[in-house]
Amino acid sequence: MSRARSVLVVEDEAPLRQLLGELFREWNITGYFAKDGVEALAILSETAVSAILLDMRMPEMDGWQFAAHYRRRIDCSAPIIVFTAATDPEARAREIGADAWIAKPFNLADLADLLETAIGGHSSVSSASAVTKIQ
Amino acid sequence: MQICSRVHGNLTRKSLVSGSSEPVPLPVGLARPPALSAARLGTANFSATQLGKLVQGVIHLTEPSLSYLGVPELVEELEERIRAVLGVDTATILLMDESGTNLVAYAAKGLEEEVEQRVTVPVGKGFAGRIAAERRPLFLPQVDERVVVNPLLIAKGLKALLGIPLVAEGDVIGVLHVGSLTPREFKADELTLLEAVSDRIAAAILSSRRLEAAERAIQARDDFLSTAAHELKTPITTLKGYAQLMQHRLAANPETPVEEILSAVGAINVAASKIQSLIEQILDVARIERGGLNLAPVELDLSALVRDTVEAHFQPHADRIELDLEPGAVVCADPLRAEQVAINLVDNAVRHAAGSQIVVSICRDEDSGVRLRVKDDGPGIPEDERPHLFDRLTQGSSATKGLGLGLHITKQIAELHGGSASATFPREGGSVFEVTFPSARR
Repeated sequence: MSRARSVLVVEDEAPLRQLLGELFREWNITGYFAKDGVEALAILSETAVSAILLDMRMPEMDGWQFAAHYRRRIDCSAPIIVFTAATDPEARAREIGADAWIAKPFNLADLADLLETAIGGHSSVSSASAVTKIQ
Repeated sequence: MQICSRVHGNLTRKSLVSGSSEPVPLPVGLARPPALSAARLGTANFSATQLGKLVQGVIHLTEPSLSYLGVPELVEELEERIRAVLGVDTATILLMDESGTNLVAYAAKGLEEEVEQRVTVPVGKGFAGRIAAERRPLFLPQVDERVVVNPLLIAKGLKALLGIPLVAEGDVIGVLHVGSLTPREFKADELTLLEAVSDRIAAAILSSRRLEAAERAIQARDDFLSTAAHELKTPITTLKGYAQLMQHRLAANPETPVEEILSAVGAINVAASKIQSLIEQILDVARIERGGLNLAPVELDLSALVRDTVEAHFQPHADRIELDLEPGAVVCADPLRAEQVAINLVDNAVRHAAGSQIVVSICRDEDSGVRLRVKDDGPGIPEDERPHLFDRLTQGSSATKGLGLGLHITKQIAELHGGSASATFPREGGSVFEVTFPSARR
């Protein structure tokens, strides 16, 4: 069952997960946190989320591998937002067929807007093929 | 024109044309340096027509050397032209390997199998090997197994071979040989032509190789800059995020609890330290490269230093780090650099062998001084990455983070102290990294 205003963060940097936890509390978003793709899939097997904020370079299972596993699931309707420090984040997002991307470092207002769009207009974001440029 | 008469004389001797399977040495005086003057080329006995053809041949054969082709394209073009100009059936270039002890078939026309099978000829052995060792052209009027080590030359049905060393900046970088499927001799002007172009071919190959090496170095540097930017952006994201969060909270509520502010400032401080550490690594490599990494060695107890370092920096991983430190392991080392080595080795194990048990040990060794060993039972290092572990700008799997400079810096620090750094990979799995420091004289 889908949980309203919930975001799964897949990010191996603990300080960043902690920061996002604080931001989510401020924005009234329920956060789920995984340090890699393996943990993220385990969370998704028990919980439905409104959006996924996905780092790409991680140990164990990286963003590319996670996206491939995620797409094979029956329920893969939650939009993926690529969250990366790569030189070309848009290219990373296209590689995995993500719905949107945001570059690190980010402005809080941009992230808040993006998550609101993803969570609020869930169906329209997930069906959009164009990559949303944020920064 | 002594050179001229020697060339002409050799090539017109009966024994050079048929009746012998022994390679016939040809004079080398013509080939280096390759001057286009008639005298240096030994063309005094040539007719005007021969000379004209020779000059045309030189121009035609060396034209590709002036273009900016990569080594494979250059060699292919040269071989095609040599084959056409000399009317031979095969043209092969073998290049010296890195060890300088073997020639490896690099490109061939009419003898493509030689390249496909990566035929290797030891220097000094066989036809091409002898040319490289003796640094002079050889003519083989009768190809048989007593002389050639490469069975492909016989299987192909080659009847005659003419080969010439490729010399650049005084070093033999390869051998060029041409072959005929029918018995034939090579005329003086043909050898002269081949000799005249051989050094230019060698120089062109050397230039192309250098260009390729420079391009690889530029690519490696670009990749590094991209990795460095990526690595710096991660802590900057945390730092900027907390700064914005606090700005927002304090603007909304000037009475924001001190605990919240302190927590954010603490996270900002950690992120700033991470940025500082990444920048220090980059600067260390720059210092090492220009020989400016200065040490301030003192006598210190390495066991005590390592214990303090692990406790201070790896507390979150304490449950999987075991210490086995021999007391009294006194070394002569720069304390900051020794601490850096310990951090690099343990951090390497923590990051690359996620979840594995790590044993950090120190023991005194009669021969090598004091040995710091970090052993993990993680997945180990892929075999193809092992030879480059301590190289600059090298990083293992893309899934792991970091600049990939830690082990390089570690090795340089160890060697500057008169010690060493090494890695071994036990059959049962995992990795063992060791650094030695010279014992302090007591």
